[in-house]
Amino acid sequence: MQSLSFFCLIIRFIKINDMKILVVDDEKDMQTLFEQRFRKEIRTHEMVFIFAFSGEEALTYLNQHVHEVVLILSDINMPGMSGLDLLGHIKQKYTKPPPMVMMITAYGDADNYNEAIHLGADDFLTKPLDFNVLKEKLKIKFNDKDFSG
Amino acid sequence: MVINLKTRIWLTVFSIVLLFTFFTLFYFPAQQRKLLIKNYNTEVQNLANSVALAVNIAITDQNYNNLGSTIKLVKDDPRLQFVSMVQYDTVWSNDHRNFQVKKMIFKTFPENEHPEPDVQSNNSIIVKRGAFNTPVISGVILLAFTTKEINESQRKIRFASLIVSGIVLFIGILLGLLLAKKISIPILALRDAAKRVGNGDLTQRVNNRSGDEIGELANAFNTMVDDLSLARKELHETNVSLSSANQTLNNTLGELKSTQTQLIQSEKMASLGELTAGIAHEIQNPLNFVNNFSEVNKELIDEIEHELNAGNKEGVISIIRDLKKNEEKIIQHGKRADAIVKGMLQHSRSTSGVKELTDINVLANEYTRLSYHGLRAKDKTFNAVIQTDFDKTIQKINIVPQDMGRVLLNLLTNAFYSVNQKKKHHEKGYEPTVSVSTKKIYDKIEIRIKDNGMGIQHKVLGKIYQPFFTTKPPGQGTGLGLSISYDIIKAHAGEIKVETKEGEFAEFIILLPYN
Repeated sequence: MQSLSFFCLIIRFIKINDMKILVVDDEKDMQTLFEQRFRKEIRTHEMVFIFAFSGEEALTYLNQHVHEVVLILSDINMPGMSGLDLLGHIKQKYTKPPPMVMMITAYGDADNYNEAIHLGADDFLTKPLDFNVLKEKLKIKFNDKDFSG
Repeated sequence: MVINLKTRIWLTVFSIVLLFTFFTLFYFPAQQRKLLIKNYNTEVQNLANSVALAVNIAITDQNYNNLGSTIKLVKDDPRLQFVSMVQYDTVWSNDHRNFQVKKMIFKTFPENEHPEPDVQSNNSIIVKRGAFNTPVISGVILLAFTTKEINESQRKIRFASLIVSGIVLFIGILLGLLLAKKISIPILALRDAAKRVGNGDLTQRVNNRSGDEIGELANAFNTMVDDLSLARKELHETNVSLSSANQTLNNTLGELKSTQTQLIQSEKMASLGELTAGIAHEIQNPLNFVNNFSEVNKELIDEIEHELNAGNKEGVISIIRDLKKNEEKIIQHGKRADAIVKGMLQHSRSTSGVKELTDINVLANEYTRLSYHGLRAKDKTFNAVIQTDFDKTIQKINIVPQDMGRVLLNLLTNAFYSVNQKKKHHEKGYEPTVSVSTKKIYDKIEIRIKDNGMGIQHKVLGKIYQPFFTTKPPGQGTGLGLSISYDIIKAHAGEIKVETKEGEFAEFIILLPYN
């Protein structure tokens, strides 16, 4: 049992090592917050976080690192390209397989939610962010990915 | 004194008649008498000469018997007053140096008359002398004729003149009256009609069919009133159509106003919705950090305990360093939430101040300096040229000075921020400039705040007054500045508008009414 779980961990480590999570938010403190909140996961290389502070920056990064990013966490209300614009771009451009996109927004209203889902968002979280919930979701997504991949 | 037309005509005719009467009554009879008297004198003189000649012949012939027949020429004339023979004798003085002519009536016919030898003509008689000169006797024949007949005829003439003058005077007066009436009555009728037309009665016409000037005048008057009446009618029709158009316009205006009210209402509702969403977003962003950093810190405290138990002092120090950083974040975002709430409170209080008479120039100058030095205090590298152009003719205006100051501060802060941003991104030749000007425009004061900074993007121009809309990075602006400013200007019954060119300039224009 112990060895199995260790084995699994090894596999997960190998798998995840080149799988990155891209966090897109114009609030620069989000980086500090994520780094603190996921410090164990980061330390163990269970999760790797990349930060972009605008939609444009996120797209630039995605263009250069197409298959590295498996999950994108994006704010909606940003100056310039909004999170929804970014979502649309991603789901249109990267079709094989499209990276998962989770929207994280302070605007928890139905309009935003519906539009995000319509554009192909995989999940929708509201601020203030409950990191325990986020962690659970991420773990489930990764496990799904592990088993599917 | 104004003499009316009728009197004037009458007076003229009367004067002419009076003049004529004077001539017929006095001048002509006097002339007549003069002529008659002259002829009479000549006739009497001729007769006197004839008698004298006859006497001369008779005495020369010494036919004294015939002397009595010499006066037969005149003795049967009914006009004869008397005829006398006057003898002249020369009487010398004793020394024969001087002499005297002595006149003596020798004989008179009729014999009952006893005239003086020197008798002269007077009103009732004409006396003429015919001289005779014979060796025997010399003297004059004195012939006197009565003027009774002339006086009589003159009296008759005068009487006839009087009658004629009376008739002429009467006819003259009658004619004058008639003429005056003929001229003045139609003119008076015209005057009255014109007065009534002047008072607005355009049905007035003058009935005069005579072909003379007055008739022409009447026709011209009628034509004029016809034209006037037509013009009035057209004007009335135009007025009616104008007032109907005006009514339509009024209705449209009413509809527009009601639509506008509805639009404003729905805009308010939309703005309320946006406000709520804005509050959510703006508060929840800092709250996100406050909550999560607190939770992280809680975990970190657990870890400190863990490390302390393990005796790992360095680990504890490292964790405490993180703890401290996180606490700073918590404080920072707590303040940010506080600023947002305060801004919202200002929003709700934006119309509660007390109005007082304020010198806009002083206020604008004060807040320009305030905002500039405020920014300089925060950022030492910040610099900008400030140009002011204050219209000294503007009077004090009734406003809430704190509120208007906040508007100016908001606009100026934006302006300085914008030029500062552009300076960071631009070439060295760029000179950040913010200009503030005031100007009196009729019953309004205009305040312009212009910067040569980034300008406003066309696509966000419609959103700039929305609460929480900002182009500044998170935490640097609440997005309430222009929204509050808009509310304050509205509360002052003023206007705020913006002119901008992206990348070149932005100019906010405030118009405040004096009342």
